Amino acid sequence: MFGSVVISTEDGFTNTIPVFCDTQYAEKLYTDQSGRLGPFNSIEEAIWGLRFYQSEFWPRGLSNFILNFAWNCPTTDNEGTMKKVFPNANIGAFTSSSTKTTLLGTQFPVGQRQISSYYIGSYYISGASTPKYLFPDCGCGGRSNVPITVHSYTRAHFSATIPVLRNDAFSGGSLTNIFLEALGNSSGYSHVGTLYLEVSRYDGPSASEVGWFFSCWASSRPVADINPVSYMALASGYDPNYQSDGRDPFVDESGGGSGGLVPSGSPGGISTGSFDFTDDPVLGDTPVPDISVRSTGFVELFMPTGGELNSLSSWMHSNVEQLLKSSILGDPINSIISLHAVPCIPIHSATPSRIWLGLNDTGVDSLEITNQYQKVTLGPLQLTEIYGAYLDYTPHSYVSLFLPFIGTVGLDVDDIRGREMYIVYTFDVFTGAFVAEVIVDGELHYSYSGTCIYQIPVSGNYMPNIVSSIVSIATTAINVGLQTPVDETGSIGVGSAIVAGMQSGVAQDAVGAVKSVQPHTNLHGGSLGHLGGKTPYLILQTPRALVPAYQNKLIGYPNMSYHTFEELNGSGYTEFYKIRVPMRNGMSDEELAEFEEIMYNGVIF
Amino acid sequence: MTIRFYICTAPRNHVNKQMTGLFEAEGTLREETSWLNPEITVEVASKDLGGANMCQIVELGRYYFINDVVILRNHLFKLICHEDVLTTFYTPKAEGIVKRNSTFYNLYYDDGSFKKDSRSHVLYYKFPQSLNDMRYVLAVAGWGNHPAE
Repeated sequence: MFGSVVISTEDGFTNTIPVFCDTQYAEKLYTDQSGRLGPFNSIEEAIWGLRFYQSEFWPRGLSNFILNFAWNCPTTDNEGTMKKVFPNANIGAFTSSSTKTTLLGTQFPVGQRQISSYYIGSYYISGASTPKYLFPDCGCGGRSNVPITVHSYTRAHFSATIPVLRNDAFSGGSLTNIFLEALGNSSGYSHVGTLYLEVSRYDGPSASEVGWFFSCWASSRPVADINPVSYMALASGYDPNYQSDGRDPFVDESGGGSGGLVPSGSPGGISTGSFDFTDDPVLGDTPVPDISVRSTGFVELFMPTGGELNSLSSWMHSNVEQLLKSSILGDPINSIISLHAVPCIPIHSATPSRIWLGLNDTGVDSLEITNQYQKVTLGPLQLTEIYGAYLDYTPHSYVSLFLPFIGTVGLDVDDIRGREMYIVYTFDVFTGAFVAEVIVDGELHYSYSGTCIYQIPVSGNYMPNIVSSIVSIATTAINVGLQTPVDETGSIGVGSAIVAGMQSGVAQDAVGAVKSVQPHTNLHGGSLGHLGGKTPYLILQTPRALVPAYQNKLIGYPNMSYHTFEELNGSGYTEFYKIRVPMRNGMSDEELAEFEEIMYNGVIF
Repeated sequence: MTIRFYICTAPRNHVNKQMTGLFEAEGTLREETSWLNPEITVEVASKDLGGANMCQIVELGRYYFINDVVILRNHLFKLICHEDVLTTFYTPKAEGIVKRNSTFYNLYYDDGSFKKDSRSHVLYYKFPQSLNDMRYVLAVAGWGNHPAE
């Protein structure tokens, strides 16, 4: 144990969770398990990764909350599926002191699943053979159906949520209810990963974090087999609340500054002025226009089904009586302004209305569109950290976003890391114009526009116009390549994307913004966009960190904070950026110079 | 002057070395020696000197690594030393800006500690919803009020 995480709740509960895993602890686990077939030899060992989760650490009195757990296991071995990376991967719970029940098995499809006959919330009083339930009546404890939502599942990351809706206090015994066993050596892979458990208070639709738990697991394989890249004891020590010197990094307490990286009060410092770091948020709830073509009375909008359109077509083109009427009441084709398809369900009436074309009663009823504008919200999606370190941010990580009908656009990974992200499309179903807004933590961060309608000809002279338009588009899009994204799971279906540029300037911008991130997919507007992917997705390019075993012990981790030597006692390897040593015992200049040099080169406290 | 001999197994860059005292002996400094790199002549039994790798010159209050031993004659040795300034001058009141540490760290500080493989991860995160709901929209000329209404 080398650190701690403090949990405080509104109930006044405060507890300190030891953080067990540093490199040395992982090494110890390895040593204990060396040569054994499985990663763990007993239940206690199997839940080693959650040992902190015992009663003495559990936040008593915590009200409704969610368990949000995730693991990160960046590894160079992840060329295959999750199962390949974690040959014995499984998520489950204990049904007895020795029997485990699978919750998610070895495959973790993204989405919500109803899990029955499981024991989330079960625990054992010492010596008892049957479990007790932490939340016996809640539809979560015991064996009730509970939705487990898998948020994301990649080869290197897994995240899921289990809602716990009761506030039963837990007392006594050891909570052995969740295990994540993901280690194995059957295919020769060896891993040290990190378990990240987030405890949040859950109040209706929203949840607020109240604490984090961390642990890690280690491999049963000999050290020589541990890929140094996958030996990720690094992230196990990550604590988002941790301030290395217990001080706010933006406030120099001794300098008495008023804020800023270099406080204005520091002697000789650079004044940073009085910049206010608080945001002026631009909310993403952009209102739609309060006027519409429909409100003028000149335009009626319908949302016909395919059958209704067939009926309308038949009425227009195969009715001799109608042809005769047309000469009197006017050609109905002249009353059709547009027929097109849009990628959303417009707001419409509850009951059908008659479609009139001029003075002609078509005899066809269809739902009427009552609002020209429609918002579609996609999300949330959270881009969690992989390393819990600077490698997760610029300039080391890059992220781009594929937007249907827009293409791939570059985002600033610092903007969205760890934050809740939504995309809100606002469609004008009459013109096909739309605005796609990227909302991060409730604030508008990016905005894009385009067109999305798929025009359908209603007369014979219309099709040549469409063909002519497409030829023109293709001519302006010669600089935009056709790329097909590689996705082993096939979950992102953009392989048939046709690349073109309705707006060649925008296309060039998009290509430039994402040239470092694959895939280079650009879909631009109109009917062509309908052939591309309809599901937005983030593409994260992040480094494979090389964290050799014993790095912590041998060269330490970055710090950059103030400490006295007394504070550093027992802290291990230390390098200094600058030291100040009181002169004593007639210390000569040469001795001082050597003392400083040694400190700068690294010492062990 | 009095020389105290120690055996120490800690790394030379350890700040608080645990030293096991062995014995004391009288020694003399060679001419033109320095505090940092003194050469000391001592007369001791060779079996006693065998395990010692550190010593303290009591009168100077300084600790030294014994880097080499030259045998002058029977029981007379010349110790070639280098001062262990860490042990001699360590004080808990010293202070500094820590660049790296095994226990206290801020992994968001980019000091280049973590190296990168040239092969990046490329990961995909799909949004949970799609724009797959297609609907037809028929726009027709309106009359304000339909004649049938």
